[in-house]
Amino acid sequence: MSLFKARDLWSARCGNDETFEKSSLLVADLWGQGSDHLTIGSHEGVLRIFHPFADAQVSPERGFSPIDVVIEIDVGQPILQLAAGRFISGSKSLSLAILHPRSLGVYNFTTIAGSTEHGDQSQVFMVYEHHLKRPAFCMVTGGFGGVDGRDFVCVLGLDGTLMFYEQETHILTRSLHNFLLPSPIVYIPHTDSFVILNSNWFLESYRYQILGEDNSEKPVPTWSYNLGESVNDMRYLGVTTTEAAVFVLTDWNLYCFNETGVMKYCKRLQYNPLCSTIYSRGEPTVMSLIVSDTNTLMVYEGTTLRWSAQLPNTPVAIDRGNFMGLAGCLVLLTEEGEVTLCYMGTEPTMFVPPPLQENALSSSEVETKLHTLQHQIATYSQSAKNSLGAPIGRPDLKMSLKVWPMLEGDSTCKLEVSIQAMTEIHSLHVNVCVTHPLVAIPNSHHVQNLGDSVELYSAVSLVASYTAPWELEATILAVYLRSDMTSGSAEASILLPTPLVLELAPPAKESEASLYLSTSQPVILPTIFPEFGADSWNETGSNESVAGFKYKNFPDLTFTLSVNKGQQKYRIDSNSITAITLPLNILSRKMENKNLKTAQHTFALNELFDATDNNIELRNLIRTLQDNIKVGTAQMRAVQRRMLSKMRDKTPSDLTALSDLISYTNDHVMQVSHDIETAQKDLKENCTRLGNLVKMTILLIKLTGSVNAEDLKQFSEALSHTDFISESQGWAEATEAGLNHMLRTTLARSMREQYMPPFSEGSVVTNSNNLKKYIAVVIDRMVKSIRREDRAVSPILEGEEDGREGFHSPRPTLYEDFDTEVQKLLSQTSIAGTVMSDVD
Amino acid sequence: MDKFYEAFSLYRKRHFEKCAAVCTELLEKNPYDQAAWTLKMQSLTAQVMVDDIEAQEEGIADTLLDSETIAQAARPGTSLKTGANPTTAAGMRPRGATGRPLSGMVRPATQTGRATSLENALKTPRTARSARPVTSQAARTIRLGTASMMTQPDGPFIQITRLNLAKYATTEGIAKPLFLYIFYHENDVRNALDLAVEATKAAQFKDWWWKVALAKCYTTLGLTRDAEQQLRSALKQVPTIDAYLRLANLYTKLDQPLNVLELCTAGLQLFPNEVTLSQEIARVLEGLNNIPASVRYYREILNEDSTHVEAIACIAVNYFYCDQPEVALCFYRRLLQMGIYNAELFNNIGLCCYYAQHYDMMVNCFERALSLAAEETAAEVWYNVSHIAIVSSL
Repeated sequence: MSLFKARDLWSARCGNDETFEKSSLLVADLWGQGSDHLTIGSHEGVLRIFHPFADAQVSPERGFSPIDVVIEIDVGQPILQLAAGRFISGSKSLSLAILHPRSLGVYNFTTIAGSTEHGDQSQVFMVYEHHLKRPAFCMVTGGFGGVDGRDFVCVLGLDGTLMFYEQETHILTRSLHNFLLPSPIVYIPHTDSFVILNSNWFLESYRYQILGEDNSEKPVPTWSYNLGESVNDMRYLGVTTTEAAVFVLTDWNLYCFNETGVMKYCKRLQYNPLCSTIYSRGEPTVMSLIVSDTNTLMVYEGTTLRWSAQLPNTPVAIDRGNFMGLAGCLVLLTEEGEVTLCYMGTEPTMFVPPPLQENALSSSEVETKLHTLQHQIATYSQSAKNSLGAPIGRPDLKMSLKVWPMLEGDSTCKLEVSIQAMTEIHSLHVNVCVTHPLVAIPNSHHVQNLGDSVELYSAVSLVASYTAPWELEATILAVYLRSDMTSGSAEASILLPTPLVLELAPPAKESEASLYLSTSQPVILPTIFPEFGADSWNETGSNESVAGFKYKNFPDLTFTLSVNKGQQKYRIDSNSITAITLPLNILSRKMENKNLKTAQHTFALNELFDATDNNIELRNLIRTLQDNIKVGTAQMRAVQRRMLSKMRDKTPSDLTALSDLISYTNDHVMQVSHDIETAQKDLKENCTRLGNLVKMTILLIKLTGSVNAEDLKQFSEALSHTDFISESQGWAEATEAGLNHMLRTTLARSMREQYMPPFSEGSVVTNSNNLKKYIAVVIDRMVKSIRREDRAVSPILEGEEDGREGFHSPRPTLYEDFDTEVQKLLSQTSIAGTVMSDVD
Repeated sequence: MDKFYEAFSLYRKRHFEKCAAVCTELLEKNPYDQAAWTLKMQSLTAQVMVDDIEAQEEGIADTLLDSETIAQAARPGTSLKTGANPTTAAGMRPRGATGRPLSGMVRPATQTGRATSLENALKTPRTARSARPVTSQAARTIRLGTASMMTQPDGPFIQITRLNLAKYATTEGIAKPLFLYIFYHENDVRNALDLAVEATKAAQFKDWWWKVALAKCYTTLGLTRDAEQQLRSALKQVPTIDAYLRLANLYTKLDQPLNVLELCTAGLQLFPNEVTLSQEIARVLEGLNNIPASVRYYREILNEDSTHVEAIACIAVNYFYCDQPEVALCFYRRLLQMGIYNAELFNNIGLCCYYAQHYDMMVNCFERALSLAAEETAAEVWYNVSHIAIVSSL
């Protein structure tokens, strides 16, 4: 984030695939010509010296030219650090010290002036070399011991050894204790001491004199400061003749100390620093250059930010140099060896946001598009709807189902699903759906990689329940992924054998409920139930025209089926209405085209209403209990908080009362939880019963023979969600919404009814009156079979004027219509007693 | 080339993963190489370490099960929760959902909504942006912990449970990096605390670093008062900006803004013109609805660091609500020139243009804002657009 950008002046690239780091760059006036040289040494051992703008006549805009390279030589060993100083005894000129991992070399150079524009010829040669006993980390140079005019070298080893060399001679080796990871080291001439960070992250200063004294085993630091951070970079700057500045850069802060270890200033950085350098402008202030990891250069005077500029690349080393008339030029070296000279232009390069793409359409275009879309919607026909869902091409898989024959005394039946892949499919999920109280184990199979074909097995059995099973159809649903990661599905169904749920019993004489069915061609009973052997028919006293059955899951539930061939009638007697559903289902399936009929379409309505009441009561109860548990747990938390705060009190107090309260609350919550569990079990049972009765009602309505198939389909879709229980939506809500919709649309009798308020989404049914009314009215209207064309189904509000008063009246007159209709209906049938009392 | 030198060089160049890989090689050759071990530990830590001072966010559990509350209804001007009476002067600002005055910059703590009850708090929909319901750790810290869950092919680098913490606590040179590793990389606060306790004992309670380390652990564990004690003690030994900021954050958490002000002012005596301390003061003053004083501090920050985005944004907001949209526009333009490019900024510039009657610029700005806006911001931008459309009857 900065307004300015550093401007490129000169740049060169050093080799390919060479490694550089912070200490690889040295900016010094090696030749004493008044302008600096760039000396760069890589870890691969190549030493390069550049002299930018060597030719003063050429304008600085020229950039890099080959004559700027003074020397490029492979010294044969990795170059860790470079230093310039007076390292050769008897010579006042600058020479170059190069630190290699195992040696320290001092080099000098000669220049032969050239006569052409190819420039001068320079050579570098080694003057002397010290071999190091330990691997080196870095070096620091200076006139140790207050020497003037000569420079000595101190090499810091990776293991914390300081090796001192006074020009050609090795003086001493001293080990620092408390040293683990190497840290930068600086030499302060003012106090003749070295500053280094020890392993405990203390900054310590050792006097050269103390280090030199042989007798001290552990050198004592003259001062130390607990820095608490590892150091990124450390630099020394003589501010005045008496005052020095030790500049320390860490990952989070920058510090500046004076020569006696007193902090001058400290600044917390809000970015990650990469590299830095410091300089003085001649005043007693310290200027620092810091590069952040967002490639921004910050120029600080003390702690104040003076300038910031965006850099063209990410440098690992930064320095400042003087080149032919350009004082204070920035030198940047990247990790890959790109060396750049920059200056800080004062003209801001402002951020220019990219132009917006013009994707807005004109209003006429939008209008045309809207018309096209509307036309598409209008011409979207029923046939198009059907063709959309139709499978394209051949199916992806072939599914065949087989029920294994049941042996005598078997209580489960084995279902085999064999799937043959026609195309490449994977992640196959197969669900086996049977209606409760039948269960399939396992009810879901997963095949990750389908080879050619696979056989899956599930066992279907009956669980204990008070309700008789009513549906023997098992549905198998397969979901899979194709090779292009689109999903597909396939469905198949099969009838389970009757002996799984039924066995023969002596026909009962008396019954509580009887259902009469008429047919054009009666069929004898063993034809309808071919699975039972002749022995069992004889044993139980059943014959061609009368047979008794009992359910395996609840033997008290029985029914007797009899056929009267003369009168062409079937009769089903039972001690429970729910037991009749299964024979009815079987009969209607087996005699589909033999004109089976009945007039008793309200036969199970009474029971259905009872079950509806029960369903809603149970759901109300569960809600109440949930509220209770919410209050209970809230109380629990409150008490626990109180307990916590009491325990933290300074003065201990009696906690028995709170403990009692906690255990009481716990008991309460546990009790309510058990109640909820029981209620949920009851609800499950109730749903099974509801499913049974709904199925029977639908079958009976179908058997009246006067019902429109489309209506019946909608009706059964509206009612058949008994398995579905969620917290906010149960059977009652789904049904009420569905029936409400039917009454408003396909079954609406007048325009007025179309304005009936719709069932609002998210509302909860707490009272069964409306629902029962809806069921009764829908059945009545379906059976009366008003032709669909005659109904007021027009979606356009033609009758605006006569619809208006109905719409605005607080209680639509429609309801009164309903009430009278319901009463009429009830007076016809036997269910008057129960529902009449509910009608307000 | 020495391998260890290479590793250390990579570490200095912030190539932490490569450094760790080289250290692993070294440790395979010599498993007892302490330096390589420490360097690997430091590079693993550095991979995941972020500045955690600003990341502290109060969880809902902290807010509701707050056992440190002194008074339910604090006196005006002493709490960030109650806030001062809104002034009727020109500088009146609307308030955000948290009840605090709108700030120029969205910061970690300004976003948390305060739920009234635990039930409500648990019911609120959770997104990555809203506060996590039951946690006292900053969202970033949680992310840090995942470094320890990452499967490493050869098992974890250090089995913390098998370390003899008491031994390592006395080993200078290893104890501090080890603490950082356990705290930041493994996110194992309990063991980090054990180590810090042992180490501060070994240092004879003379090392401020361990006291700050203890305070970090205590803060994460929610033992605010203990953390305060440690930080106070550390500050007495060696005053550091880090400790001042951590203590100020603690006081903000304890809802004691006046303590924050006092503390940071004391800190500024030692570290004159320190931006982070001034920033803390400015934020607290803003929270106390003392906008003029807050802006004064933000101005001081700008004198010290003229690229400070938060200061520029806050001053701009102040000008905007003081009916000087032209001046606010200058500040926002500076932010834009510095390279900040987002929907919020363009929205603000658009509003300033509108109030400064630069109608030609206004539509452009809002178009840009809409093109940059993400889902949630888009709603707010549209709201402003609608406002302007109504008023200027476009």
